[in-house]
Amino acid sequence: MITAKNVTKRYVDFTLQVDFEIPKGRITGFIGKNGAGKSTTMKLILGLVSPDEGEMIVMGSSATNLSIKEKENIGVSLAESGFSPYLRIADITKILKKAYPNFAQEKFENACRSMGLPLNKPMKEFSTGMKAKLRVLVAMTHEAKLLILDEPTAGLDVEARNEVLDLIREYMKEDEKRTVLITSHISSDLESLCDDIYLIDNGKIILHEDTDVILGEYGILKVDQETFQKMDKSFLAKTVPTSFGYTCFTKEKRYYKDNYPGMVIENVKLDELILMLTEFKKGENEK
Amino acid sequence: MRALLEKDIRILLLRKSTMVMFLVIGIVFTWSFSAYFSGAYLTMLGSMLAISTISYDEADNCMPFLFTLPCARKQYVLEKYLFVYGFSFIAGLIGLLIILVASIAKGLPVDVTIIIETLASEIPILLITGGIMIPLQLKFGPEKSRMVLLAIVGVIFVIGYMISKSTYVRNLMAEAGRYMDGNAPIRLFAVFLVLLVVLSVLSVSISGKIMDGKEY
Repeated sequence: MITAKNVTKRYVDFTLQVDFEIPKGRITGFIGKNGAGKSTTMKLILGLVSPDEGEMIVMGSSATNLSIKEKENIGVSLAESGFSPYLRIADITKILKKAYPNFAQEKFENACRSMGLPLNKPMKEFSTGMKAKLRVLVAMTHEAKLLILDEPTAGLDVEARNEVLDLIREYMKEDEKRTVLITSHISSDLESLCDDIYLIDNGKIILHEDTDVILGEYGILKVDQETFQKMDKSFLAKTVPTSFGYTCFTKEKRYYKDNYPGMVIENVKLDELILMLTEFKKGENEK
Repeated sequence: MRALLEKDIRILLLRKSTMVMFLVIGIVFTWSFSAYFSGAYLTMLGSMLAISTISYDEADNCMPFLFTLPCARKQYVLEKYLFVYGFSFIAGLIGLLIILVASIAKGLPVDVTIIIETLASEIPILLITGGIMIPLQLKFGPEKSRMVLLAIVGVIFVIGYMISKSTYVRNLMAEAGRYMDGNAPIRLFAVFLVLLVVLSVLSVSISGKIMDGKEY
């Protein structure tokens, strides 16, 4: 569905270099800290910026040269961009009807009503949560085959976040051939949603793994000095010294569970994964 | 493109009260002071209102999202020209209607010359607001583009003043005047129309290049 072939985008103080392939029928998450390059990757996919090197292919065409028909099959929610906030949902309904031949007006209006979004109020009077829900609804009510959601849950409280995530789940349930690409710096949102995860840091993809593997096989070991000296370090991906000894990140949690029964082994949460792989720079031992 | 036109119409409808106010001023001035006031006046304000939709697109960072809709950047540019020229033309026609009604009511002679003169007077306004302002606004945004337009008008004025001092140009103008004499309104209208078409094609091409080079 999307292929990034050695794509490079250079800015004055930041360079993004990515290479990935996203197949059909998956929910793929891009996680990373603010400014890591997630939104730039989305903009490259949407053709809003052009790569300096390499090629971004979306549904078989260059991202900067997508046809109208191909764009009709893409639903987009951008974190900081949408229709003019002076317009009302009643206005954008008419615009969407003309933009997308498959726009489901009744479904859209019913979804707006059920989520408490007033149809005849200027959007500038909406709360952050209302705006976020509307952006996602706009993206998913025209039978798009590819959904690109950039930070759809940013700035939302837990309840609103769950509502947005439920919308995405419902959307995938309707047709399993659909593809969703979602970015978030709130990685816990993606744990229960995504099939696979890309971790971006400083403009580079530093990890790509199935979510099940990350949550099931990756682990955090907390060991004291003595245990650390004796233990097998072959499967440690990263080691960080702490006040009690060492915190170690491994992709082979089962190996340590089987061979070191008394060892404190915690499951990895995506937030911890980001922290382990991107945050610790001092005194770390990376393999 | 239909979606973009719909969006701009919706944005324009947000300013209904402003449009009604402009219309009332046009009627009052045409009735009270100048029989031909409302033609150029409503065309100019119509153009300005239509161009302001670019400001709405740029405010609150709407542009990136608009370009994710099923439309190409070139279509966005074409739509802007269509919308600005179309709305200005409609505003000009309303102005013409006011002029005709006011003339009849005042017992002034009404003939085809009035219609042609009014329409001819509207074309230079379209050239400035549409042909020059659209690429400027796309390139520099609403604030900077006004400054650049002022600078351009200043330069044109200085060049025009210098040219007018030339004897050759004076003779040329006198010759043009003699040529126009007799059928002046129709010939003036034709000249303006050709200028509008040529400069608009050039302007659309420049605007297209500006938008192609933009990154969001």
